Amino acid sequence: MRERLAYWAGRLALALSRRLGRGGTSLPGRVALRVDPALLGKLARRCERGAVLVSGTNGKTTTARILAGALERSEGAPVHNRSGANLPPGLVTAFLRTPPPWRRALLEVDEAALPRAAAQVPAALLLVTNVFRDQLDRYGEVERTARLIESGIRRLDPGATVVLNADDPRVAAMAAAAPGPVRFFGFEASVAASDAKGPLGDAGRCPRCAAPLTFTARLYAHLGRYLCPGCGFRRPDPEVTIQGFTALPWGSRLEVAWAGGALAVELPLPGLFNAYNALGAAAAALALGVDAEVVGAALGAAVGSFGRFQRVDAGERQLVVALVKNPTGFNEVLRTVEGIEGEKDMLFLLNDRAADGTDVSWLWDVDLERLSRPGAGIGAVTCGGERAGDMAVRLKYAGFERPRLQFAQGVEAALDLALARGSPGRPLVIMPTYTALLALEDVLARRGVARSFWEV
Amino acid sequence: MDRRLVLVHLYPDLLNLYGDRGNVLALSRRASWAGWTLEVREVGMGEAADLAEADMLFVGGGQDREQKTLAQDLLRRRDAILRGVDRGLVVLAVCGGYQLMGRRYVTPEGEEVPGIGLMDLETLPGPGRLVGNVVVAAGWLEEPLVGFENHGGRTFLGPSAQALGQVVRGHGNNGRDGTEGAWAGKVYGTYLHGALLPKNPAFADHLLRQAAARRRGEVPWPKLDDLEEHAARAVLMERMGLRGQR
Ligand SMILES: [Zn+2]
Repeated sequence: MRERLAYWAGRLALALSRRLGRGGTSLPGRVALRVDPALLGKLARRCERGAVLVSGTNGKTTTARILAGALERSEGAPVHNRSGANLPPGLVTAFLRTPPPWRRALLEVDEAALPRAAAQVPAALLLVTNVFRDQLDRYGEVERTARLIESGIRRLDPGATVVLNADDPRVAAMAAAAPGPVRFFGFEASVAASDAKGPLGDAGRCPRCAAPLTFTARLYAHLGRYLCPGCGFRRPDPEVTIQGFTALPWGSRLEVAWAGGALAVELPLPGLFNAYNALGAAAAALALGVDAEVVGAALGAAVGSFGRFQRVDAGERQLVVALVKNPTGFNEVLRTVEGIEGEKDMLFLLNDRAADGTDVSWLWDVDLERLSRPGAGIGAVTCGGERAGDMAVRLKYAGFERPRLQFAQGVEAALDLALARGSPGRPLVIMPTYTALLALEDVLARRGVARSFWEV
Repeated sequence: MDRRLVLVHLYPDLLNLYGDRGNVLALSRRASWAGWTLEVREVGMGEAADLAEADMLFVGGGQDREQKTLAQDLLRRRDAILRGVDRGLVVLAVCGGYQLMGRRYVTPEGEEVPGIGLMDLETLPGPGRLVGNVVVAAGWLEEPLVGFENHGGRTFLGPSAQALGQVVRGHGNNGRDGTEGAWAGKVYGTYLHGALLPKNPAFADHLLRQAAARRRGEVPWPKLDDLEEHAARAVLMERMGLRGQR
């Protein structure tokens, strides 16, 4: 009774927010949860095949989208919070937006919300992408996040499969917490890893005994093949692997292999991090019994989420939008941007609200120096957002100077400045932090350039 | 004529934390814009450092639980650092590094970690963390210091220590007595990062000028073009209700 009341209250809120022209990725769920705080578990139990959860610090949204493509092709579209609203209200909203009956729920879940979600939702599978330090990680934040995920894993049903990234030591160590079967995915291909240098910090320590790990290969950040000289903890052999990786201008060619099968596919999303996203999605799909052919089709048709490397045509100007949210992600984006042929202009949009990280010093851990090297192909550089000055200071110390480097306060003013400065033939690469991305999306939608991201 | 300075950056590997790199980068860029060369020597845990030849020493901030390992290594370098300071070594210590410049540091678990006693101060645990943007009035500089703080330890200055400045916005050393940071001679300690020196060019130049004086006596230091730096500062000041101040 309470569940029905909550469901319909949420549906009503959804209809209203649609009428008002808002996407409403969380609000309807918030209304419904107020009526019945236990609603998420009740709705999830109505799914014929249970739920699939995706968590980790980076790549959740893209991974879940690729996995959704595989499920959709093999059994019909799942209930899915595809916009990336990954707290309980967002998860409930996904159910409100999808008319029943529900076959399966595919939920991207924030790490902090995972323990509760895992306890409430009958999950058939949980996929963990990675644990990177976030902007605010000064004081063991990585370890705290990893423990939250582990506590989620402990609350799963014994029948649930846990799919883990073997190349991330802290994620691989989560296998010990799994009550049921575990599957690993990882890179076997050797990749020239230009970013895999620099200090590892905490991520380079053994999750079991805290001794510094020995890496025989590093792909990027702290992902690679490792061994602990102290206690013998080592990278587990992954069941689903990437045997071949070739970077293409807008994607990569992947050879994925597992016991009893293999597939070769062109992934239309660029960069090593997206190859990891695809690999994780493939491992989860295979564990759920999806056909190899269908998995291949899903990878080949992968679409990033708004701001996770998206090309947008704005009149004569081509925009490339890539969300940046922590040093690792930012470095990967820069590496990928360098792969875009020819000269390109740059627009950096830095905000410092809670969702962006209120401490902007994380910028100093980003290898922006690489952009000012000769031959990097960078034209005009513009900074904006609420902390435009801080971004400009960072780039100044990275080797850029006026007039090539300019800044304007706010998102819209900076966008206009960047558009006015560049030359029409050159793509404008826009790198916003999270709330700057939302503001940018607003401006672009208002100008009729991009669809709203809840419609994607 | 020799316009070369040597900076020793302690524990770049261990204390890979926000802004530390920015501080070193700011010193090295600003030195070169002023016509000097700053040679940066990175020295990790247990590695030998020739402080006799150094003009500047930078010790960054670490994670709370790294403080003990760090303290052991610093204690082994104590005499070398003291000798350097006697010869005019300019020291900047931030966050965790700052805490260990004092007499002692008490962990949240109550364990006592000895510091190197370069400054008369001690750090005790407190409830919660002091986090946020900070503005500090420092009369000896032409502009206030701005930055971001994030620390659990509360630092209290002894009678022979002097605060770097008075807190205008934020928490500072301990959130109670209105002081932020400390200095003694050419040794400076502070909780501010964000990064500290790129956003406080006057402070960066002050440190460089002192290091240069060690080599060549008082030298003129050019006024640099700090348009971007001032834009970054202005946003912070305005947000803190300090519009119009630089
Ligand atoms: Zn170990």
